[in-house]
Amino acid sequence: MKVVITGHTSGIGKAIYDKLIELGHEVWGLSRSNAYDLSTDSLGKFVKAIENNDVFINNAYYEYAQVDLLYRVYEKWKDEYKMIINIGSVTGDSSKKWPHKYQVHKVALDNASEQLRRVGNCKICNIRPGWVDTPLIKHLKDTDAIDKDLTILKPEQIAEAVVYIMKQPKEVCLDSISIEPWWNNYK
Amino acid sequence: MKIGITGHTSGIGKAIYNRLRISHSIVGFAIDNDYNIDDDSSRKKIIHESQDTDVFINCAHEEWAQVKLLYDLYSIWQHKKKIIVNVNSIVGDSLVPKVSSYQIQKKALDNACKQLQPLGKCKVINIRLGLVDTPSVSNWVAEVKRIFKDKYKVLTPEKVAEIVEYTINQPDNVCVKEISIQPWPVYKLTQAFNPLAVPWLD
Repeated sequence: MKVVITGHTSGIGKAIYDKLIELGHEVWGLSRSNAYDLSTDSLGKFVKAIENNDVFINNAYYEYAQVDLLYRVYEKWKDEYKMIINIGSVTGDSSKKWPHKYQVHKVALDNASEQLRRVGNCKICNIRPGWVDTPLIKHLKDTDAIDKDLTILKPEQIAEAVVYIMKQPKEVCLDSISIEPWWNNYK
Repeated sequence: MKIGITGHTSGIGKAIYNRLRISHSIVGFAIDNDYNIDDDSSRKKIIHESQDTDVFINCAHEEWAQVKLLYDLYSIWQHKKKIIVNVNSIVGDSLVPKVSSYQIQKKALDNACKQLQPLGKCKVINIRLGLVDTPSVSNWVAEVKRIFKDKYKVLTPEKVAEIVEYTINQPDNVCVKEISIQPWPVYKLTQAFNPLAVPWLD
């Protein structure tokens, strides 16, 4: 399949990119490293690079850009049998975990997906991870924002979930998968 | 692994039982072998006889029995390294203007899972399904097949069994705590039918 992913050079995005390449997919990455920056570039630039693929993995996070990009790509793909996989988060499920606007953006992504998937042919699948070992989490640990001993998922485990979603038959859609490190909560 | 499951003699439960028995030791509890989840003493017996299992699949639906079974079993398993898989539904996501105890009971199971998931060591997994081809909704599925022919297929019990296996096969340090799965594209189904006429919401 022809797959395009945002944020393919680090963290979860890199793990997904590497895994899909390993499995033989034709994968295009859009990141700052090749002049695609969600914080500064127009969404139109991204949509143009995304539209001729079969699967869009909406991975890179920048405020509401993931939600905006979802809407813009969905507009193009609504009537096609294509697939958008959003990398969301469980963070909005409980405001006690990490009160931050990040939560609000990720909840908006959940809600946008819920709204759109009842409209057309294009599949929308959300992967909602708990803590994942990414540069962001390393920063939070280094600054004591979160417990240094916190159990966290590996980016490769999220990549496995993406592969599982992509291999579902045409008539089946995994709307969402929530995946958390365990036995994290028990500590 | 040793696994217990309710409702193993028909529909989704049967498919899960048949898939998992290939590589696991599995024990089933159903009306056919004199277990009735709607009966308090029978439910206690199921829980008692499931204590040596690693995984319990809370599959059979009967009024509030699934929620009761989840709470009662979790109270014993909370601090144990075990797994409870709940076979649930997405039916409560969009409440239709109709009194439907089924919707309310399935929504309650959603909420019970969310409440219990952060509390302990026992994994609580919630598998939320769209329309599945089972005997209990055979008339509805037949209508879908009549209208859509091969253009729209409902989920099969075997697909659900595969999803259950995916969740219980995760490594110890990973919990797929919730999966929602639907036949695709779902909008064709919702556009073709008046939700007030859906028989299984009576």
